[in-house]
Parts: sequence; C-alpha cells; structure tokens
Amino acid sequence: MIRLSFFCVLVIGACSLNGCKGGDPKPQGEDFDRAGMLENLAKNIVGPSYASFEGALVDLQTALDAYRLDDSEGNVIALRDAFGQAYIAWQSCSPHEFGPAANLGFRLTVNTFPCDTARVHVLLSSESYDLKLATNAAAKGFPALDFILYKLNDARWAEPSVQAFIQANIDLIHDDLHAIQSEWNETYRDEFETNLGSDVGSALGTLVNAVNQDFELLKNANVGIPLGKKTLGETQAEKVEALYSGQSIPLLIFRLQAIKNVFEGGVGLGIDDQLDALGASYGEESLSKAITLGFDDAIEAAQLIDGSLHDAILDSPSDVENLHSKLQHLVVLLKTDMPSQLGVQITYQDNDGD
Amino acid sequence: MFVSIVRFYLNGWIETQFIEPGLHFKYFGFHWVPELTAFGYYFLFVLMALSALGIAFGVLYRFSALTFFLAFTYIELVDVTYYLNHYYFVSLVGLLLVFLPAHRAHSVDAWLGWTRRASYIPVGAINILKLQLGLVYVLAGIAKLNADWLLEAMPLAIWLPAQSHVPLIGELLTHKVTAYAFSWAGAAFDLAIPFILLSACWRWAGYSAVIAFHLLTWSFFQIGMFPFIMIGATLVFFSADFHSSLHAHIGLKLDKRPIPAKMISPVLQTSMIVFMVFQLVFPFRSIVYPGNALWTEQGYRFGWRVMLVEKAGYAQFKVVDKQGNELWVDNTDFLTPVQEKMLATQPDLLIQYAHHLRDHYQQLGVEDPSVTAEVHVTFNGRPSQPFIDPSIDLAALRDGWKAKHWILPLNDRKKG
Repeated sequence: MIRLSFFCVLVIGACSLNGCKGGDPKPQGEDFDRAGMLENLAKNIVGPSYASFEGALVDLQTALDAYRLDDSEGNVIALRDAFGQAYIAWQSCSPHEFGPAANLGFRLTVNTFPCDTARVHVLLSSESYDLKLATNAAAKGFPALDFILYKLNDARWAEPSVQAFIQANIDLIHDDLHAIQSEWNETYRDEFETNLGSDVGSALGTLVNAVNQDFELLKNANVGIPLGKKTLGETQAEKVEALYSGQSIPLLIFRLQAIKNVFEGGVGLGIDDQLDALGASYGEESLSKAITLGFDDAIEAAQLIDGSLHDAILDSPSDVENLHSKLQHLVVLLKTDMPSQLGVQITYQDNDGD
Repeated sequence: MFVSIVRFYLNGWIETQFIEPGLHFKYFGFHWVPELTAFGYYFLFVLMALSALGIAFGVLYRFSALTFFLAFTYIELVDVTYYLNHYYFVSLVGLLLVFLPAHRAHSVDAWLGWTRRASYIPVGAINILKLQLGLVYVLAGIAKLNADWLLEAMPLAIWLPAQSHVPLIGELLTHKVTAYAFSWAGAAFDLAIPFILLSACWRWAGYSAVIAFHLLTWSFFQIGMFPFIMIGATLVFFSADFHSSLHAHIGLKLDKRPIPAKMISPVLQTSMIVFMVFQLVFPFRSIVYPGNALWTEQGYRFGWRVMLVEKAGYAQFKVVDKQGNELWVDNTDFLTPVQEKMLATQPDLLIQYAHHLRDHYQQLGVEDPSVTAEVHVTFNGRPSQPFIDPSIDLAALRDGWKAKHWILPLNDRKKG
C-alpha cells in the first residue's frame, strides 16, 4: 500500500514535469546567460574600474614626486590635474562597494565628505597620526586632498608636514586598493562569477544592493543634503563633494555614468539584458528602457547646471531641484521595480514568501 | 521549536532584530507591549528554549506550554515588521497545547507520577489540532484563489525564473507554464491536503506530497523553519497505531489502561469552539475593506496569505513645519533594512512611523510638524505606482479598524 501510493506520487510528478516540457515553445528568460553577465561585469566593469583607479593613483604619486623636486607652476597644475583624474577614476569604483571593498569600508576611506578642515589643521601640526582612527574619519581621503590642494595657501605646500599629509593619504588609499585588488583577483572574483542565485549573498543580490546603496548615497549626500533636504529647506551648499576644486558636477556625472554602466554591463551582458529576458515591463515600455532613460534624464539634468554645484545651489536652486527630482524618480525604479522583477532579496530575514 | 530558537540565536537575529533597532513597530491594540533590555531578550529566548524542551519531553508540561506560549507571543508582539504566518501558527498551537493533555504518556511527568498516566487521550484533543492544521492549509488555499495567482501565475512567474541556476530543473523554471503548473498545483494541494490526510487510504500518498511540497518550497524560497514545522505537525493526522509502532521502534511502550471517564470540561469545550470559530472568521475580515487586500494590506495579517505577493516599496517621508518648509527623512537614520522594506507596503506601519517622526522632530524644535510620504510600490510585476495619497498628514491619523481611504486604488492596467 505504502509503496504503491508513493509510486503513484512519483508517476504523477513525472507526468506533470513532462507536461511542462511539452508546453510553451517560446519561454521567457530561457536564453539568458546569467553566468555570462556576471563574468562580463567582473571582467569588463569591476576589474577595470580598480585597474584605472590604480593607474590614476600612480600618476598622482608621480605628479607629487615631480612637484617635490621642482615646485614650478607647471608642476602645481600637473599635481592638481592628476588629483582631479584620480577623483574621477574613483567615481567608477564607488558603486562597487561589495566583497573586499565593503570589508575594508573603502568608500569611507576615500570619499567621506564634507571634510573636517579643523581636524586636518590639527593633523598638519601633529608629529604623527593614524588616519584610520575614527576621530580622523572626515579628515582624510580625497576631500582632505581637495582642501589641501585648492584651499590651503600654496605657500604652505613646501612644508614637510603638508607633503607628508598628502603622501599619507595617497598611501592609505593605495594600500587599501592593493588589498582589494589582490583579494578580488585571488578568490572573490571566482566566487562572484559562480554564485548564480538571487538571494542576498548571491552575486546578483550583492551587486543590486551595492549599486542601490551607492545611488541613494549620491542622491542624499551629493545633492539632497547640500540642497537643504535634511534641514527644512535651509541650504548647506558647503557640504557638496569636491567643494574647493568645484568639480562636483563632473564627478557626479561620472558617478551616474558608472552606475549606469553596471546596469548595462557596458557593451556586454548587464542587468538590463536580464530584465529584458524576463520580459519586465514598465507601462508601455520595457523596464530596462525606463531605467536607461532615467539615467539619461538625470545626467542631462546635471549637465544643465551651470558652474559648480555649490554656486548653483545658491544661485539657481531650481536647476538642482530638477536634478534631485530626476534622481528621486530613478531611485524608485532601482529600488522597487528592478529588484522585484529580478527576484532579488534585500535582507537575510526569513519571509512568508511575500 | 528548540532547533528554531537555536537557529535564531546562531543567525544573530536576537541582536539585529530586537536589540539594535532604535524603534519597534507594534501590532494594533498592542502598543502597550514594552520593549526589553538586551538581557531581557536573551532571558526570554532561553526561557523559550527550555520550555520547548519541557513540552517535548513532558517536563512540567502545562507550565512549560504556558511559558512557551507567553514567551513566544511576547517576542512576536515586540515588533510587527517580523510578522510571519508561521510564527502566528506556532503561537496558536502553543496556546492549544496549554489545554491539551499531551503529557499523559511517554513523558517525564507521567514517569515521575506528576500527572495521571493514560494510554488514551481524548479524540477531541487530536481533532482540534487536525482542525487547526487543516484550517491553515485550506485558508491558505482559498487565499490563492485570486486572479494574480491563477491567471497570471504571479508571483511564482517572478520567483521561479530567479532560481534558474538550480541544477537539473533550473531550465524548466524559466518557462512560464511551469509557474502556472506550480500555482495551480499549489492551490489544489492546499485545498485538498487536509482531506487527503484524513482519509486512511490516501494518507501515505498525502503525506509524501506534504514532504515533497514543503521540501520544494524550502529549497526555492527563503522561508526558514516553516516547511519542517508543517512536515512534523501533519504527523498528527496519522492513526494511534501508527504512532504506537513508531514509539515501539524507539523503545517506548504504552501499557494499556482503561479509558478515563471524564475527558474535557464543558467550559474548555466551549472555549475551544469559540476559538475555532474565531479562527474561521477572522482571516476573512479583509472582505469588508474596499480594494484588493493584497494591495492595501487591510485585514491581511493572520489570514494565512502565504507566497502571494512579490512587493517592493520605497517610502520617502517628508516632515513639514508650520511655515511649509520640507525636511526629507533618510530612513536609514531610524530603521533597519528589514523594517524599511516591510514598512513601505504596510499602511498601518506608515502611520506608526509618521508618529515617531513627528515626535522626534518636535523634540528637535520643529514647530507643528506634519508628516507626508511619497510611497511607491510594485506589486506582482506591475510597474511601481503611488501607494498612498502623498498630501495626507500621516502624523494626524490614528490607526484603527476603519478602512483607510488614503490608500490609492491599485491601477490594474495589465502590464505590456
């Protein structure tokens, strides 16, 4: 009796499986090569972002060395220029704050702004210091270099303590980047490319959460807070990224492009292709198209802003409001429609299946 | 249950869910439930673990059952964002166990003579457990009889392709027809399984299906202990002979004793009936609310609505002062990721959070703050759409049983 019923269940099960096979001739999502997407993202997006950042840091070091030998005007310009290029290269790494980078808190090391300039002055007059201490959290990285290279009287650049501070910051970032790259190449990249699920620890889940976190940070820290969104409309223009060099807008555009690049997978397979393979729609158009358009609109809104973000917040806030509302529109797509259609979990918590 | 508690601890969830969050969301009518210190939570979990063992081995059975029920329910009541149907189920069964004589045989109590030994327990005691279990399945089955589930195979049509990397059957899961097959089979399973298990002839087939079904859901979805609880619990449908022989296998023998005359007091009997009627009616309360309960989540909880919705929401709260200046709230300042996720789709929690924000910013010196929110929710594959009226002052609202008319209707235009 027992065996017979068990057999029946197996037979029924087998029949229904066969039924599935015979049914739909053109299934959705069948052709999507998830492993291919992850390989593309690892090989052509994440890996290269670290490599170019590394190159930019080497150039920055070279420029600093050249300036130390000869403090000519040309070398000053070259040093500032190399710093600007490194800050741009960083923007492509910022959305990849997962795995080894997240373990080190790389973003906090490189780009915690606004800079605590009072603290920087304290460090400049100290014999020795540890930039990793919590008290120095806002007195290091690119925001600190931005202050040194564009705000501090350049007569002071000749001081050994100032040069040592620049060197210490380059070393700090460089060391972390090396650690991240070696872990990425040795173990993490393989784990990433073969973790094909959609749960929290999976590559896709990790990536989606990291990208969303970076995007929300961009919306809030880069635009919302300076615009006064957290202070009842009272603007805090001095809280923009790269306040002293006035590079906020180009940096922001590079960052948006970097996030878009992860979404599209560059010219290869990306999250957009997976959404298309799943047949995800947004009203009349495809969800991938809606998100791509959302990025383009936000980038265009940023390009429309004249001068530095700091000045625009004070002089033509409506342009910045416009950018903020484009970001707000996009964040909804990125945080609701996209993960939902991908079946990506946001937390480790058990659920009811809802 | 003991395993469940240990798992909870090992996952560090006591820390992340109860101790770390600065703000807890309460069930309607249970706002008075006080939060505990870290020590308090650990103490309750230890108590819960010990009483679970007490129930299993029949040590101070009634006391253990009561302790377990109270501790478990208390923990649940501390924060509604962790609500799961299966936690509710555990609470209900915990409550039932307090009144059932499940310690009359093979228990330490009986062995020590702390309770009257008996070889038989009243058929009503078994039946009420069967009824409770049956209700869970059937009501879950009825909840599946909706257009999204049956006609769109939603949300399985989203969830199954996400598992396409699973070996052997992964490719199969990407077919839309598989989602349909799973949806219909799932609904049929839930509706039929209690009756199949009741029939002696089909019981083994039914139980095989129970095991297969729950193992399948366990492997696909992040649903924790629930499948194992159900696989264990449905054993109650098996006959006394089956259990005796099972016990004999592990060396437990039951000496035949006469059936005691007095079984269950009338008071207990009546309360059990009332309890069951409540169980039968309460899940259907959503009918009186306008709109789709899966969208509005009014009358949603305690309704055995499992696996029915794929939702993601994003809530941008704004605190507005007397002069009309806006402050945009960063949810991560107040909420854990789980809380942020759950809150965005549950209207009563939006109100609770709004009250918290009002109080918080009032203390910071914002005059007469009102709190509005732009909430966007995507539901079973539909494009994200506004969930509530963005102009309504949530801080001025009080939660209650009345329908929430500020929830915007679901725009059901079919996706492209």
